[in-house]
Amino acid sequence: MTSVSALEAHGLAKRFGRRRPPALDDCSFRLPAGRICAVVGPNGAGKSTLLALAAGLLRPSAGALRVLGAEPAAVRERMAYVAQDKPLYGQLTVAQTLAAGAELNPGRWDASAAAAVVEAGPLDPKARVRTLSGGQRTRLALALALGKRPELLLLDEPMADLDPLARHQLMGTLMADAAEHGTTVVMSSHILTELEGACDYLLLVAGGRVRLGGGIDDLLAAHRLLTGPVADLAPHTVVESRTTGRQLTALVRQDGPVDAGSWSTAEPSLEELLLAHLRAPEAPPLLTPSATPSSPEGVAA
Amino acid sequence: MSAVGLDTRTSRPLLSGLPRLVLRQHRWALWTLVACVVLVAGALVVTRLWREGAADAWSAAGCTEANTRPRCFQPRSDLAEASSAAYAVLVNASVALVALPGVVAAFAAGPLVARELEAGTYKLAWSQSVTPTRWLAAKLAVPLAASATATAVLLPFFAWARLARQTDFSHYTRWWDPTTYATSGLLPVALTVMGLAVGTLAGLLVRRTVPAMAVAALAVGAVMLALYQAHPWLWPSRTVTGREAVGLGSGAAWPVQDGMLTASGERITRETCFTAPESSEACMQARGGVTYFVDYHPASHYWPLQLVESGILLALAALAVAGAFRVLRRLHG
Repeated sequence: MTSVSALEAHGLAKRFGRRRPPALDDCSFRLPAGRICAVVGPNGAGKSTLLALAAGLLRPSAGALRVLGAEPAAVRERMAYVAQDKPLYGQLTVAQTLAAGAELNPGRWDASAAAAVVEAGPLDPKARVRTLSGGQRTRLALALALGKRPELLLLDEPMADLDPLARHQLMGTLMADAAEHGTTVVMSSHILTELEGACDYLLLVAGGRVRLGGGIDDLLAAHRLLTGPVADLAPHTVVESRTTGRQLTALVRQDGPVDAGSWSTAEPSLEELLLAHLRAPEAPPLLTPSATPSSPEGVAA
Repeated sequence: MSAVGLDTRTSRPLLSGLPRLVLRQHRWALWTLVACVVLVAGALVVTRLWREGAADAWSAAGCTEANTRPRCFQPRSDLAEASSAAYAVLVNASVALVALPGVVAAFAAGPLVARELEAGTYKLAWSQSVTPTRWLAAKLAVPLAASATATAVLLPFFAWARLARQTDFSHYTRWWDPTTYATSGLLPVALTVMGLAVGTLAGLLVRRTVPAMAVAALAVGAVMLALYQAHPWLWPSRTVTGREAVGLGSGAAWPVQDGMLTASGERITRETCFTAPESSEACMQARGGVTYFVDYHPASHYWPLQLVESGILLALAALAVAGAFRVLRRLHG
């Protein structure tokens, strides 16, 4: 192993009730420590379930998930989690909420880090949490998470309630904090532009499965956008192709050199890459080497 | 004094961490509980003192119940009024204390547990450095301490109110009256503990505030009703027959069943003759009854009965708590 895994899943599955389709099904992937990872996918793809499993709030129905090299429940104090609905105690004030954070994280709490996020709001320390706006709640929830000084920060749709200015400012705070302390950050979103630019790692989750996993640069480099005459694209793996008259546009995973004479090639944008995979659910999943989990324990590598 | 001021600022709070959070969340519930305890205790004290004063004035005026002289009219109506007020307060306070386990259960099921699960705030608590197990333990311990203390504090006031000097116009209370029995001894505390445990389990199972409160209150009501039905039989009763049996029932003895014995010693209970067209006596005699019998509990059975019932309730509470932790572990690891 070259680096520690922040997350490592083997055949991870979660079902809610027998009749419903599984929220997550046979997911295997790895997230190296120290990366800023975007978990993207359509609504209902299983992103929130994945984060709740990582946070130790849910139990997997099958498979295993290791967080920071241990069971999620064993590393509760080393990670922070902000759920999608930003749960907070409405009857407490902002100051009481932070005081509770200090009391519930003895020995870890960084009051100045939490205060910095709250003061930049600015949030009135005496305000009751139930009187806060959505954006203010997000700010307080993030302050609680950062005050804990986590090694792994799990954020479920963190920016959904924020206006563009607050989003930019909070993202900046998050990134600066993560860079300073080497925090691994996992952020989910169904809006890619929210996370693009901030993240260097990607997990695309759709239909309860991991479709793409790896460093964003590696994933982009593994794909080519081809435009040219209609022809057989073998030996490349075709993710998606469209023909307009005699013109063919295709997103492929390269296997060997591309015939540069008849094809114009370009590196796809991240958005093109994701949309192509979402439109083509039958395309085989791709995990780059850094996102491939090691062999399960007990099995020879 | 600056040194004193500094001391108070740096001293550790009495409670920290989860218990403190639970207290902060439910501050209003705690103050309501304290207010109710003060109100009930105060009402019991005030009405007893009022009644004692009226009784003193009554005897000082040399009046008796049979005396109808005009100077006795006022003390007489004063004493009657004070006596009935004291009795009404005692009965209503007893009913309130008997209802407390149901209220505690609804509180534990709803605001304490299900509301957190419904609103998702449990996710906030569990993503701090506390395990779900410790979270639930704090959720149980703080209300347990508060409600058991409130119950225990009230019991001496009930006992004292019932010990009032017996005079004319007194309302007698007997140890086995349901309102007396359930508001004395160990039983009220055991009922409260059971209510909290059953309520917590209901909250974890139902996971929605209002339905959980209803389920918890109904479950506690069912347990209390079942216990009330069973309670004469939870300790072996004694039996008297013949002439003795006829006089029983107006003293410290609690008759739980009566009827007649046939010549061969077979029992004909009064219940079997309830629907008879003739009087129940005639019915029992027609069936061969020759002498009366009464099953009863003497006053000395008070503590055995209380201990058995409290033991059953505490065992039930332990089962519910174990079930609650099991549910939590199964769902959330």
